[in-house]
Amino acid sequence: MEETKFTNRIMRIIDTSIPFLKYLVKRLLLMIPVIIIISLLIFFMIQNMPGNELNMFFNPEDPSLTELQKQMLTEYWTEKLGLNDPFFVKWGKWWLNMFQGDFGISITKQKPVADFVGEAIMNSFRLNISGFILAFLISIVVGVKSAVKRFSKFDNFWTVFSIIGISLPGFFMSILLVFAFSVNLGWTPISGMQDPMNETPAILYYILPVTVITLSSLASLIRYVRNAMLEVLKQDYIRTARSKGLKEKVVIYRHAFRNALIPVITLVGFYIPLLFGGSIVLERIFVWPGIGLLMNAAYTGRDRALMITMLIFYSFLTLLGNLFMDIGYALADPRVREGGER
Amino acid sequence: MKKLLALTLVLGLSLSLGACTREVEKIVEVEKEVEVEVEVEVEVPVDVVEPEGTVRVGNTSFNGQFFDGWGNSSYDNNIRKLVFGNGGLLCIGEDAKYHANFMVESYEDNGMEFIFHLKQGIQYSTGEEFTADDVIYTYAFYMDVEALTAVGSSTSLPEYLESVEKIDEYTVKFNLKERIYTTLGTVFTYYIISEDQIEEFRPADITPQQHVYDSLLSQPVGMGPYKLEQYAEGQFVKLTWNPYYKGNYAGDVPSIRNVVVRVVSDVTDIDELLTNNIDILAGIVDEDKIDAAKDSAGHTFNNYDRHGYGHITFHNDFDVTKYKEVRKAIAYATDRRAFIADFLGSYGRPVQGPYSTNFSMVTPEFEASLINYQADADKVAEVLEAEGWAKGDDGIYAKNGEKLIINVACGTKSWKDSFALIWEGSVEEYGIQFNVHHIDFAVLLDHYYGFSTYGTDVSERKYHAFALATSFNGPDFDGYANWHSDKVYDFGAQASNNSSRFEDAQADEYLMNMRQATTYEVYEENYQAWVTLMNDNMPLIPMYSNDYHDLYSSKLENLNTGPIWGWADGIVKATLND
Repeated sequence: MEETKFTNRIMRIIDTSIPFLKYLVKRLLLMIPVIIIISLLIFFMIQNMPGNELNMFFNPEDPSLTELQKQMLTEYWTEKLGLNDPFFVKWGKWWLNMFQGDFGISITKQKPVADFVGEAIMNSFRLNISGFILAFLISIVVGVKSAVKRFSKFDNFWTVFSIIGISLPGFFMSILLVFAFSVNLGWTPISGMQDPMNETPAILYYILPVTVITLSSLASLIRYVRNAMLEVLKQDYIRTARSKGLKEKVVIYRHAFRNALIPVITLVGFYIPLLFGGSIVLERIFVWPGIGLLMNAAYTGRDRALMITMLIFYSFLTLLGNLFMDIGYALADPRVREGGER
Repeated sequence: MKKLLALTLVLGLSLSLGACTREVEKIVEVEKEVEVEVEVEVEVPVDVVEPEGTVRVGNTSFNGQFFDGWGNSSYDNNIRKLVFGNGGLLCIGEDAKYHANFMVESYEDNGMEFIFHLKQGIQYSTGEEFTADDVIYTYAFYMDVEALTAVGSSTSLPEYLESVEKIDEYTVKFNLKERIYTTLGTVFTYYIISEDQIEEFRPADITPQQHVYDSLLSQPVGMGPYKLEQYAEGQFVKLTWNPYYKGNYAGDVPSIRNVVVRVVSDVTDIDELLTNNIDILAGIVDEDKIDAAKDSAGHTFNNYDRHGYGHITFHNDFDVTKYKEVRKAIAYATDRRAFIADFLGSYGRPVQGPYSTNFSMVTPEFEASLINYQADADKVAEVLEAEGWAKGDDGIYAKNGEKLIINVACGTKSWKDSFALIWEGSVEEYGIQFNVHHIDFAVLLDHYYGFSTYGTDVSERKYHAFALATSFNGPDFDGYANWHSDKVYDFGAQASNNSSRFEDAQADEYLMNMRQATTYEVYEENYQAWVTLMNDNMPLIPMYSNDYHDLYSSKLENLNTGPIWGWADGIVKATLND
């Protein structure tokens, strides 16, 4: 008897999983041509971007470089960067090399992109993940409560807070925080990621940049969660749940909140690429050695290898984010799975 | 067919993910490498007084290339100076003259042959003894063009140096191929690297240059006042004193134990200084920052003229700017004092030619003898009308169908704003129309050098002039590479070293005389004649020289800095008074 129950359960799981897996595989396969087309577009745009990286890298009129040195450097980098290769050869080589973990040579750093880009991405990721988790946690709690207690003092306060947060640019917020907490109060370091002399705890270096990321995201997230929740609270099934005499907490958190999650999942999907992308402004103000600063240097120095690698990486992440959203929808709403199967 | 395609795509994706996994592993390895901690147990010699304290220096960036030959970042070079000592066998002293460096007892200059007698008892920071072998090794390293080129490095040595011979353990002989006035700086200032460090773990199948590039570029070992303890990419370099250091060329030894060079943001760097998060902020030009430090009781400064100048360089072979009278008229239509006041505030001064006031050849008397171009509509009319230019109906000077409409390219908005200020109403006032274009700096350089590999179309010449700035290295100037007619290449064919494209037989002669001068007097005479000629011909309008400020905490004493003797040189003599 027990065995039959167990077998039935397994069969049920398999029955529900197969359409989901098929859906997942189909989405993954669709990503491949998309990323190939995106890479072609990125290559085309970057290759046609005006500005010669050799002129940016070494100054032909630098008196400390002799004629021979300039000639040597020009020949070396022309060969190394494949500057004379036709477009499709460059594109093909990039993909072939990428499969071997080689993303090309960065002219600004004068070393393989793979040697340093991971560290920069991780530095940005550490900041972003801390900021986004905090922002999501706070926004869900505040957004739900604001929707439930609509037009209360609590709701009004967070509405005003959100408007201020949305209106305040990140760089301005960063400078205000530095001025208040670092320059005047001296509670946190002004910039950097760690103390070379190990006299200041590393966590203190995270406080201001994480606060800026949290506050910048929080304002719009709260509005988003609040509106999603308000939409759900208007639905008939919520009225039905209340009329059945269910406790308000059960109505809100079991029936309303779960359904309000769908738009929030969409938002999480959008945030996935952002987790690995750095903010140029934020990282510049806080001297955070992340990918934002690196990308800024890549644009100004015409570091095409780094730009191409990062743009394709972000495209891949965006596609992954979309996939994540769809998986999230499918898990939260069985109709999506069934639609996927059809 | 569809299934086959799908299978291929799945396989491709799997391979991609596999590669990414391998990449992640590689990244993890790199992460371990990026933060380099060099921990060497060093026994402190008994007769050495241990220095104390830490000085923190604010810095814009690092490339992490702490060996000669890779990159030319001045920030990296400060670290090289601290690790290797402020030069090679010769160094530039506080007096901006060449001296035998601390590892050299004496040297003989026999024209095309130099003999260096090395000091005994000099050691690297690892305790390894310095001998003639290290000098031979260093020069063999930098003479190997092929091996250096293979790792993106470069060298000028083979152009000047024939060979280096070891006479005995402490004597080395150099045979020159060519001697020019600046040979001392070109040949004998290479930092002396450690053979032991490079050879100790070098795989047999790769060259020393490849080994340095692969593994040691950010971990230099030298004989200088400090040794590198930790380098965190994009963040800081931590150095600690080298107990084996016997003193610089003047015998000074460090009294500060640690030097931390931190990357700071130009947005908050002055706050870092004023809140004592850093102790030194060098080379500051912003009026607000300088004034803030001057107002602070706990801070002081050294200031000096920039070793260089900002300029509007003409393309002297293009359109109307090929005429001398037009270039001079533009100089008379440019209010440089108003420009400086707007662009730099109180901390700048005009210069009259392509020179640095820090060159010993540029004496106050000589500078006073040059034409000081000041905004003057009468002078504009005088120089133009003498050559047959006349104002047309539109109020713009014209001659033989050519009009004085000048396109100026600049790479920053601040340049454009200051130009807008001084050239507003230029047609009415001077009869010259200026069109100022703020363009991307990379694109500007393509037009300026007359060459581009990518999208910039330089075949159609658009710009007459370019707003840029130039800095010099060292106390001597060799203008051959940048100003000789031989260095003007066909526009569009290759980047021109003589970017102003100014060609003048008399100027070439002065430049060659300077190169071949064997005495300072001859060099100075020809240099001054060349600058005078440039001042008259105006191939570029020298706009300003900054008043650089090295700002630092008052707890630092005896920190002497200047245009050539920077903080990394001066820190050896400085003391920390808490």
